[in-house]
Amino acid sequence: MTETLADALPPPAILAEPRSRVPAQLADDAELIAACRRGEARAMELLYHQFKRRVFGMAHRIVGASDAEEVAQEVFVRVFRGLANFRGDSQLSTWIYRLTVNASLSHLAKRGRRQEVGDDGIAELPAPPVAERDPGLASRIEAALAALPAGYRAILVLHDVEGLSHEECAAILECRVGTCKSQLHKARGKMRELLGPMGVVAPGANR
Amino acid sequence: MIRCEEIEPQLTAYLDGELEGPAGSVVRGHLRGCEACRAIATDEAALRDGLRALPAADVPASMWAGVQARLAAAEVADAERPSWRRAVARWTPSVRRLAPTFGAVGLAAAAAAALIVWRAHGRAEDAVAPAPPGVAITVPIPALSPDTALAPSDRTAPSFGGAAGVGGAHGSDPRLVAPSDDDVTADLAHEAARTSAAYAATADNLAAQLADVRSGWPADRRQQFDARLADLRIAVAGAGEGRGRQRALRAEIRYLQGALIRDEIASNDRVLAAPGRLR
Amino acid sequence: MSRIATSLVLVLTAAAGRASAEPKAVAPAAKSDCTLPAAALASKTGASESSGLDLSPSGHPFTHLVVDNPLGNVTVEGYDGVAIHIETRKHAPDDDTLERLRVSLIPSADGTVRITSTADGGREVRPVARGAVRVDLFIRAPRNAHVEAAASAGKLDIANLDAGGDLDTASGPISVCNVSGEVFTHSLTGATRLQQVFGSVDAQAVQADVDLDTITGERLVATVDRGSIAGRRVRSRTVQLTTTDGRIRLEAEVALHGRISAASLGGDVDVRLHRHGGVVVRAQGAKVDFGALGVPAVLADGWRQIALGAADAAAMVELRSQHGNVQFVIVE
Repeated sequence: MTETLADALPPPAILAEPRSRVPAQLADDAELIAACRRGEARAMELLYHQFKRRVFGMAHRIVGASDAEEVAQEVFVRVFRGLANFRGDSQLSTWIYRLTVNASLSHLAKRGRRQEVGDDGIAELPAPPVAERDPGLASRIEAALAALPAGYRAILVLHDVEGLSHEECAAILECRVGTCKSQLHKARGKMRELLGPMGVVAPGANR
Repeated sequence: MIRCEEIEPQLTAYLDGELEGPAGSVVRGHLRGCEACRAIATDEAALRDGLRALPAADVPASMWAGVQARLAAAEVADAERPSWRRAVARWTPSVRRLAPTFGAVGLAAAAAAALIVWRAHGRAEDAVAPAPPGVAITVPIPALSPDTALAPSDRTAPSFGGAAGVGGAHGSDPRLVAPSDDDVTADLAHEAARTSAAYAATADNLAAQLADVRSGWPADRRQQFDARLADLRIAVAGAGEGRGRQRALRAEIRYLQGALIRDEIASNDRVLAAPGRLR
Repeated sequence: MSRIATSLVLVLTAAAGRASAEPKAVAPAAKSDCTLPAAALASKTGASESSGLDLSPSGHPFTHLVVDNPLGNVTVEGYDGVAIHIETRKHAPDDDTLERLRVSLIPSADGTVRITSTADGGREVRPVARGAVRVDLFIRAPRNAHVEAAASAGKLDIANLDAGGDLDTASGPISVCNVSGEVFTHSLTGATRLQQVFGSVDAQAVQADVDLDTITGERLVATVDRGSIAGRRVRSRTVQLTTTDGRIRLEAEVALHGRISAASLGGDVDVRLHRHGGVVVRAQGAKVDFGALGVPAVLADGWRQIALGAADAAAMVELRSQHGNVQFVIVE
């Protein structure tokens, strides 16, 4: 078979993401789910691309960079194998995020405390800066996040990092909205303890 | 003067714009005057914004291929899985469903554990059940505590409406009473409504038998009967579809039978001291 | 806040071949001749599967067992142990359908164990009629666990329990044997049989017969719309039997201050009484027969009454049938 020039060339950037023949309006949850249940490869790909960033992002923040891909892959396997039993009691996204949080937390439990950032990890955090601006804030926040108990990390990742509402968080974590809010408050308090006084934002300089 | 300890728990909600009206002004007013709380607030706001601004992690390009490979492997495993393993798979999901996130991370207030030992006998056609190897899986189960409030997500039952109108008959959907040719899963979903409809039909039939008798009663007796029946029918209408509604319908049937057969109008507990026990 | 992680340990052990399929020896129950249905052999056609599961408490003992099996029979037998043993037998036309039948088991921290059967759905499944699949549950539970069980068309049998039960079926028969504590049964069309109940009984059926044998609890209430009530060796202090259309036959002992009431709209009422003291009997019916007891007094409101023995602490018996006959006999 003759290889044409077009075949040999890398695909243009816009095509790098597999394009689905499933029309955009099919992205409606119910139809997407039905198509995935029928085993339609394109629908499965579409679902994957729709959720990969958040699934990977949540897993990444909860279990850390080294295990994130493994956990995220496991989540998608559970999603595709579990779709047959998905009853639509919650939104598809809620269900997938719940699987993600559960898979991440059970991965951590399996991995045990040995790899979790313990007291040593906290000790290695850079000393709280006195400067007004804090260029290293992002990396310090990441380090403190990693040092947080896993349950607090989950709520912070869902609400503050991913920007989900308390209602969505409560549905994902299967708890009351009130519980969710108090957990967020405690989690942020714990983070502030780990980070020390930041003094980054002077009064009036509020964005 | 409001103390800082009272303000601090509200800071998260305040910063996230969830405190409206007076509650918000109280916090705002306190922050104007209290430097310590302002520092906490600005730190928390910086933290929140910092978390939101964390750079998104790049999804590895290899991930989709990995998912596909795992799916393929799982399908092969399914085909090769001996029956005892398939049986475990059918037990396991229900056990796994027990795992609430917060239970897993230790927010549960009470502890409970149970040991499940599973014994496989294999399928009937298997001459000898294959021996499963010893495997231990630990999954979290919810501890019952008001603190956790982990209600099962699939507790909601479909409502079929139309139970009892006060003074009227039970409106039952004939489709629900007819035997179903549906698949077993759909049939099970209609079970509660079907059973309720059968109880409701019995109640309606008794009420019809009572109609003649009732017309011969003096007004005060009729009134008493009507009021009591209305209460019972309100209870039926208010009960959720399922066992609750069936229980309410059974109470109505009992009352109607008492009125019809024993002339008991006030209640059906002339002989029994505790009517509440009659379900 | 407590940080105690809770865990459920699922342990799979090697099956001991066929031996483990045999029901374990049951501790002999004192003066109980309750015969429970044996685990039925799987049908020759289609796919069947049986499995067993032992659930041992750690910490809180199992105090409540809640079973909901709309797909077949439920048998619960009490024994002198702390674990719950569950034998599950499933049957379906084919392997794929068998895969859809699920039994879930949910132990809670408060000592409640829930066992529920369902059939998974989904658009991809081949539809199968409800009657073509079956899940039977044979459960052995600690004697002092309270049992709440529900079935649909399947049989519901409980025996040898000490903390009462609450049983519900749509059309399946209910059987209770050798049980202490309060027993509630309700069924639309399932024949209900209670024997050797050493606690109060409340039985309600719509279109089915209720059979009562050796009931000694404080109260016995049975209500049937279309069906009969038969009672033997009933010693409850308070008895209330009601049918709309259906015969009532009762052989009972009446205690001091005891009250027995049997009433039917269209059925005959036939009561044989062993008495230990004074008793006042009132009856109303198309025909009232007090047999050799003599001619009753006729009260103003149409009741016929006869008083036997000392009036002090006399028991009260009230029998009525609007369209049927009433018969009352004293058995000395």
